[in-house]
Amino acid sequence: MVDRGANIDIVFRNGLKDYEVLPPADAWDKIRPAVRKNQKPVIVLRVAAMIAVVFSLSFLAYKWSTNLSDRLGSFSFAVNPESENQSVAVPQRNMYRQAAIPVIAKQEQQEPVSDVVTDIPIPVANDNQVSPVLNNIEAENGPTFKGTLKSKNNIIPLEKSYTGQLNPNLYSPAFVSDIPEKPEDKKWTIAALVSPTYYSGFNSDHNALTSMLVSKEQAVISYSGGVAFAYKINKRFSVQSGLYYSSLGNELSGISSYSGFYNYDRTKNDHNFEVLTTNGTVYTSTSDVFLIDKISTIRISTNYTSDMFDPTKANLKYLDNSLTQNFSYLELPLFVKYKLVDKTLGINVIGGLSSNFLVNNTVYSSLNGGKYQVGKTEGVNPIAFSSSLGMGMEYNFSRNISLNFEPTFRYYINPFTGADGMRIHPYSFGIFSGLSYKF
Amino acid sequence: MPEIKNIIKGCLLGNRRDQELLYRRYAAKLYAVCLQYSGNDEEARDILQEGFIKIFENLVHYKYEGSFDGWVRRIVVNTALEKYRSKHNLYRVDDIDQIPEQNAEPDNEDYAGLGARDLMEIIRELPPRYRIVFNLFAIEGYSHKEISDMMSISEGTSKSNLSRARVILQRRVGSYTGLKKNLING
Repeated sequence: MVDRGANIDIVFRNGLKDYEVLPPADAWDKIRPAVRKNQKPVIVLRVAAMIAVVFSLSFLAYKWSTNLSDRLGSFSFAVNPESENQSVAVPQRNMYRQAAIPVIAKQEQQEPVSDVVTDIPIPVANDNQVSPVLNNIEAENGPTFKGTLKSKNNIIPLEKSYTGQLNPNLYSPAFVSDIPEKPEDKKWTIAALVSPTYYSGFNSDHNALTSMLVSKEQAVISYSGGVAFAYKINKRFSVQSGLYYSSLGNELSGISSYSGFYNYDRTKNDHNFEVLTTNGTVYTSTSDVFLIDKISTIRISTNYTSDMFDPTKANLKYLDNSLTQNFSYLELPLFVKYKLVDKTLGINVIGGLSSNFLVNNTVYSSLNGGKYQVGKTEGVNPIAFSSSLGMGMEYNFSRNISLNFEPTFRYYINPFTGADGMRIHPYSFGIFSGLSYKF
Repeated sequence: MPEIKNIIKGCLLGNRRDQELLYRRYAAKLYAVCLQYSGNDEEARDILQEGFIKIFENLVHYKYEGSFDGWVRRIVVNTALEKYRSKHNLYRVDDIDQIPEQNAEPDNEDYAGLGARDLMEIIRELPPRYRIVFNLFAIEGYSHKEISDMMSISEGTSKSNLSRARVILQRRVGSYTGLKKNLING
C-alpha cells in the first residue's frame, strides 16, 4: 500500500531541494549597516582613560616632589637668631613675586634706596600666615602682595618670600658669603634606563574573530631598556634620543604542542600548521611539531585534522598547552622633555615619538623551563611607530649624577600586523628607572 | 571561486567584501527557504535579512562540523520560526479544519508535471501553522516531538496539522495538474 502522505512529502522535498529565487536587489542594503553597527568606538575612551591615569599619577608625584623639595633644597637666608624682632625691609612699590630667582641676580637690578620704603617691621609669622602689617600696607596703599610670606624657625625661604627690592643691607657679605656660585650649565645628559613593561592592545575592529582571538591571548610580562642622550636647549626644554631594546609577547592559550611529529609527517609542505593570532599568522617552521587547538576550531589551519591524525595514539612528546609569541624591537626615540620642577628632586614631562624596528620574531613552547621553537609570525610590520607620554622624576645625588624614575605610557600608532581586520593597537605601561650623568 | 572557509574567515574579520561574497553565494538558496516558510514576499525578505544578520553574528560559533549549507539553512529556518511565533496569534487554523480528504490524492504520475515554482506556490497557500509544520517535518526532517518543542504545541497537534497540510497539498496538486492537463489538451 502506498503511503500517500509520505509520497507528497517526497514530491515537495525533491521538488524544492535545489530551488533558488533571487531576492530583491536592495535586500543586501539593509543587512550591511546592521552588521556594522556593533563596532563601538571605545578606543578613544580607553586612551583618554589611560592618559588620565598617567596625569593623575604625575600630579601626585609632582605634589609629593614639591613638598620634599621644600624640605630638602630650598635656598634660604639665615636670619640672625638674636634678632627675632628684626625687621625686613619691604618696599611699598615695585614689589612683585619673584619665586625661584636667585638673590645674586637680583642684586644687579636694585633700584635706588630712596625709592624704597624701609624698615617696615614684619613680625615672624607662622607658616601660611600673612603678616598683619602687610595686610595693613595693602589696605592703605593698594595691592602690593599677591602671596604669603613664609617663615619657619626664623628662616625665610627666599623662593617663597617676597624679595622684590630688598634693603641693600641684606646683601652684605655676612649674608651672601654662603651663597654658592652659579653652577656651570651642563648641556648633555646620558642615562641608562630599564623597565618591566605591561603590554596589551586596543582592539579597534571589534569583529567576532578578533574579539575571540583577543580573549584567548594573554600578554606576557615584557621588559625594555637602553641608553638615552638628552641635550638641554634651555632651562626648561631638552630633546632626548637614544637606543632602546624592548621585548614583548603574547601567550596563545589552549594550543597544545607536541614534538616527534617528524616520523608521521607525510606532506612536503613548507609548514604543517598555521595559527591565526591578533598579530599575524604563525607558521610552523619545523615538521617535528604537532599543534592542536583545544578551545577553538578557527585558529589552526592544517591538513592534519583530528580525523586524519590522532596525536594521542601516536608516539609524540607533549610539550605545553600554550604557545608564546615573542617580538623584539630596537627603538629609536625622539622625545621632548619639559622640566616642571628644577630642584633636588626634579620633575619632567616627557613625550614624543619612536620608530621601532623588529629585530626578532619567534614563537615557542616551553619545555622544562627551556624554549622549543615552533615557528614565527608572518605578516608582522617590520617597523612600528609609537607615541610615548611619561612623567620623569629625577633625584640629584650630586651636580652630575641623578637617579631617574619615569612612569611611561606608550601607544603604538600602527598595528603590529597589516592583516585585514586585525587592527590591534598595542600599548604598554612601564616604569623606567636608572642613572643619568650630566656633562 | 574562493573557498568557503576563507570567506568565513574574512567575514569573521569584518571584511565587507567577504560578507557580500557570502551573501551572494547563499542569498538565492536561502530566499527560496524564506518564501517557503512565509506567506508573502515582504515577510520572506524580512526573514532573509534577519537571518543573514544572525549568520554573520554567529559565524564565530560555527565549528566546521557538518555542512555550512545546512548550518545557514537552520539559522534561516529558526528565524522564520521566530517570525511565526511573534505573530502566530494573528492566524487561526481552525477555520480550514473541515477540508474533506476524499478524492484528494492524485496519481503519482500527475506529480511529474509540477515544477519547483508550482510547488512553491502551492506550499505558500497553506495556512501558516500547517505550512510551518509541513516544512519542518517533510522538508527539514524534524520529528513531531521536535516540532512540538519548537512551536510550543503538542505532538498530537503537530501530527494533526501535518495530516491536514498533506490533504490540502494533495488537493491543490490535483487542481494544478488537472489545470495543466486541460491547458495542454486544449
